[in-house]
Amino acid sequence: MGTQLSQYFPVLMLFGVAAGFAFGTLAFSVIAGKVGRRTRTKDIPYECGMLPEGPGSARMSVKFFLVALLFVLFDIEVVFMYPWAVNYRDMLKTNAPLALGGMVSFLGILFVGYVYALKKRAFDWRS
Amino acid sequence: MNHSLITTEILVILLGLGVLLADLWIRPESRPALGWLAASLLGCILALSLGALTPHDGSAFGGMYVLDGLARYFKGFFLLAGILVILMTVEFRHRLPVGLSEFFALTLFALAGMLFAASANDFILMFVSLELITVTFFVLNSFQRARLPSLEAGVKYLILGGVASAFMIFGIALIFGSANTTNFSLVAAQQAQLAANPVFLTGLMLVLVGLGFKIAAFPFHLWAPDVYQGSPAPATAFLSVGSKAAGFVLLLRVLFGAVPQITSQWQVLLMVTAAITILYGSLCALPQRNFKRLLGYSSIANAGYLLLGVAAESRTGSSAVLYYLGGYFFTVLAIFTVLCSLSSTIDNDEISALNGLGRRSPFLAAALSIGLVSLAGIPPMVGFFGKFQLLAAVLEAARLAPAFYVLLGVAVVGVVLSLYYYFNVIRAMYWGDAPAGVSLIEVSAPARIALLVCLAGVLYLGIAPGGLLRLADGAVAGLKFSPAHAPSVVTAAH
Amino acid sequence: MDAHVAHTAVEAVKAVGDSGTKLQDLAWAVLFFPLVCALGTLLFARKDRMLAVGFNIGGVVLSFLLSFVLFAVYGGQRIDCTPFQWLPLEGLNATMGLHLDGLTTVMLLVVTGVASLVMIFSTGYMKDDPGYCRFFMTLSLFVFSMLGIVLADNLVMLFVFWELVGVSSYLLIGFWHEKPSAGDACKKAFLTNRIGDFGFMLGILLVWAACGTVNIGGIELAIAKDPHVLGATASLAGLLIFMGAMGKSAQFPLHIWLPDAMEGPTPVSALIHAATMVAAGVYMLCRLFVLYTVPAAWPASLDFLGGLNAATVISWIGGFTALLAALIAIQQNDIKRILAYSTLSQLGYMVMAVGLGAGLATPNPSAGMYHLVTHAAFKALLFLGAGAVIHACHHEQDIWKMGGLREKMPWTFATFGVGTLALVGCPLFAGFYSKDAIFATALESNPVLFGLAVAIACMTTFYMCRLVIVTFFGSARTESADHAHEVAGSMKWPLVALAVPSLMIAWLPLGDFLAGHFDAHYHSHGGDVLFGPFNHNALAAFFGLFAFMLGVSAAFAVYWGRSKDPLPAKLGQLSRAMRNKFYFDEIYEAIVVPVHDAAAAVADWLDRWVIGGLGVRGVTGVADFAGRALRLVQTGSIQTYTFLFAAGVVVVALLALK
Repeated sequence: MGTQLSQYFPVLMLFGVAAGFAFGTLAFSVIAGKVGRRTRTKDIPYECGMLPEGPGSARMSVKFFLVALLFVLFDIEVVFMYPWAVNYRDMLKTNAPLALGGMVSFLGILFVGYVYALKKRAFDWRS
Repeated sequence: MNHSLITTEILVILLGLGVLLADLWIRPESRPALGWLAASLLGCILALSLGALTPHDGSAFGGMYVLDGLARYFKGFFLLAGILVILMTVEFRHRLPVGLSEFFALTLFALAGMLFAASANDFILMFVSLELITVTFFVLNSFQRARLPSLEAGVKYLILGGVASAFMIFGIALIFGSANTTNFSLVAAQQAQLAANPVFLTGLMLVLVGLGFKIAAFPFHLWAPDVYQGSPAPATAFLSVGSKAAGFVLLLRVLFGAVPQITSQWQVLLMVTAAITILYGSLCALPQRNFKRLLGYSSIANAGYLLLGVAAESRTGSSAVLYYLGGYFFTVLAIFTVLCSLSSTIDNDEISALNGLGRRSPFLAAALSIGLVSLAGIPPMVGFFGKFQLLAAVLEAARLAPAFYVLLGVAVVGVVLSLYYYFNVIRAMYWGDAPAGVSLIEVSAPARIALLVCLAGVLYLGIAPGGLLRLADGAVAGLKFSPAHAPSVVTAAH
Repeated sequence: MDAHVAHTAVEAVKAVGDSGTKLQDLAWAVLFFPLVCALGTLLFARKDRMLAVGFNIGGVVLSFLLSFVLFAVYGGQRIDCTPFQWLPLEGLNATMGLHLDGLTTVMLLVVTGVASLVMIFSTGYMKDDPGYCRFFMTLSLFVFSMLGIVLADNLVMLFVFWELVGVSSYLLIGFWHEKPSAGDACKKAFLTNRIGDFGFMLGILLVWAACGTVNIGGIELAIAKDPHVLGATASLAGLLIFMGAMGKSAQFPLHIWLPDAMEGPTPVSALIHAATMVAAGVYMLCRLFVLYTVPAAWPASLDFLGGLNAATVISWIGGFTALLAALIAIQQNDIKRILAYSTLSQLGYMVMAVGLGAGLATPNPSAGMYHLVTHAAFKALLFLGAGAVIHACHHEQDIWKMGGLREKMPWTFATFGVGTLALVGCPLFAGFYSKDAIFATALESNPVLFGLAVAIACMTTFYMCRLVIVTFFGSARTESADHAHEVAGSMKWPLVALAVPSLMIAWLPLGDFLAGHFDAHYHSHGGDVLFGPFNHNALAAFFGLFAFMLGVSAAFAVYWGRSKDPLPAKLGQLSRAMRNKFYFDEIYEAIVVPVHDAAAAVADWLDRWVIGGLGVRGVTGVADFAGRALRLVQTGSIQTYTFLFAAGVVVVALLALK
């Protein structure tokens, strides 16, 4: 029991470090910073230099997000294929239909998603 | 090892993919027809899955997946719910400007998640199926993306659902760490040792937190009113029927399949949760003016009633939970079908918008009244008999632990409060003045059929509860209930 | 008597033991066809007249055909259909079952047969009514409820359908709800029936408490085992149950609703308020006849009633109602009201016959039941005929404003004539035989009531002949009567179809069949059915004949060729009392209304201040406050929600892992 709990000591340490970092930085800025002394100059984005023009955040086309999402989606799904490919030879010995069928159905679903994205013109930049 | 056991799930997923693909080639006008087609195919799957597809019970994937009476009971309801929700969505299409077919497909994917949940015999499968449900609902809830409340509902469900999932997966990690397995049956085999292991207990508690979120039990219920109010009506309906039932089947499986011994130590916790959930839902519903929000609180209160059956920790209690869910299913779907039928003519969900419905559409008003009367638990509707069964189980438990009498009192108070807020709606329909210059409301044939199915269920199960009761009783035969209730008497005395 | 009950008991046990789906389960179909049709109309045919007519007539006719099959197959056998386990709980086992025997199958045929013809008649009669589909739907609902009463095998189910019949009657009397008089009439009918039903319910509870079952077969069994099983409440239970019949069959003093019920459409009057529903009371008495065969017994506080038998009380109430109604009918001028009072009078007759039947050497209520069946045929015919006349005279109902319709409406006249001859007891016509059965029963059981019965028969003949003479003979007295012409086929043929049984139903050995149902050792008096009465009890038969001839000759003497009623001048005050129904409505109003108002004032005060003020408002105030306070938690801010969620986890963890 005790030994089992002690295995989790690193986790506890991680908790401690995470909490310490969060509170520590906050505390440090409070202690080190000059709290409460604000002037107009201090509040502008760049205390010295050019005055910024226009809105602070430039608007990007939503298409960037769409493509990024699709990229992440299809890219990450490929990750699943690595462990499968590595273990495929072993799995053939025990349960071949499941090994192949599982991946085929996975790819099938992925393919439906691809067709869907294609037909919905998600890859068509100009539309 | 029999992979053909998951035929039903595979067919549902294929249907979902098919709908998604079909939408790419059909004309937008024929999307409602696609919904009808999907609903009827689902009907075929339901008819087949009752016998032909998976005739034998068994388990698959290394005991991860089981097909038993409990799973079959819930699968039947999930499939029926899927059919009705799709019909409802067709009715609701005027408020879903884009993506009707995607709505069907997502409903089907959520349905697949529920079907897996009904059969989950492993913490991992449980988590994955719940995630499939939850992630689909993120999208379904925020489907009306031009409407702020819908987006708000989606975001709230996303964030709180994410928190709940995080707790749950953390809990599963702790369970795996202490028990070295995630399979319910294997956990059950070593629960005597695990019952004293705080790591395991913490993990189990966190898993229950995640399930508590799904069923909207106190104190994890806060999302329910906002999400119910904001989401599109079919999504809300599916959330309150399917998602809640999935939560309950998993709750039953974990509590009485994996750890019955520990559950008997936690009886007081379940009792307190049930009592507060009932009171919270009922009291908050009292001042409500928005009908869907009211239903959100009502759903919380009903989760409390269902927890009564769980807290009773007996076969009667669990079969009462199953029976109540069956009746709740028809009742809630009837109410939401009415809401969907109204969606083309009435543009908000306030109770006052229902004023004069008794004259504008006597059929819808009657259907809604029957649904509400059933929720309030008045004979001969099914709601009455469901509550009767749950309270009977509580009374039975009270023989061993007198603290249950308090629970009984709380339940009765909740029922009395619920009469007030449900009848408020009925009063608006029949005694409220209809706004000037409104017309009669036409009800389409599919909506009529869906409503008739629901009302027939509400009345039939209320008048002849025998059949479903026997089915429910058979379905919980595999669960284990710790015979000794004696410790709970002691703890209850604290 | 013992042998009969023992036989009943043995049969009941046999039939219960013998379950499984069988042909007799068709009875369920007979019962539910009309309901399915009513629901179908409600859902799919609220606007479509053709569909509504097809649905409802189809349903009822199908029920009729199935009833016929059941009758043909089973005849008088006692059979219980597979019961339906309603609530299979421990300690509470409520079943719903149907029972078939000679009595119920005959009644099934009567109800479905008359209902089919009335519905066909209505297609013509209600042609121009905006509530056409609603009318047929409600009629189907009524048929369903009535069949439920007929088939029920236990008292609870009987009571449920009893109330359903009350509801459908309420809906149909108030069918033209835009007329205030119809609204008042339907309320009056409903409330008056409630009084009777209250007694009925108490009676059921008493019987249940004593016998431990509500199953009628079971009650018969219990009484066969021990005639004193009902203990001191035997007579009281009998009378309380009779209160139900008093309401439905409009017996004095609850008779006041029936004449007003004529505010409903005439086909409704024919079906419900003449042929079937009002006879339900008589049928119920026959069905529960075993309760009236037990020795008289009263609770200690009512000991002074001594040997007074429930059946004796019933026979006197029936006789008094019959006399009262016959007297009133003589001086009515509205064609439907005359028929209504005649119905009342005939119902009194039947009730009297059932009561007298209990006093026979071998108790047997079949005379009343026999009269019920024949009466159903000819009274439905008379009402439909009156409907045809009213329809032809543009909704004129005063007989003095008609006249001379004989030539203008020959079919209606002929069939109405058949109905009248049957009602007044002309030999060869159905009424003669069923009345004779009553006379014979009365002569054997109670000679005083026999005299009364003959006198009433005389009066019946008198007022019916008055009606026919004034309406159909002479010359038209108003323009609307002058322009009358024969009704369309849909109305004409049902009249003809009803005229046939009105004439010929007694040519079948129906009386013997019914008598045999109640008495296994009953043997026919033999010989020709047509001359049976004279063979059986010649004295009774001759008195019947005498009453008929006296009434006819008196009516012809007074009314032939008159255009104004001569009786008011001759009878003076008595005639006025008869015209005003002996002032019953006024008396009730003078007594009931002040008492009712005072009770209502007290109840109102209690409700407003004690229950409402202290109880309800106090509780709602607390609940409402709690609800509003809790709502503050629900801020809508997702940060708060997440925080509370996490706090909840901590609380649960503390509770779970302490």
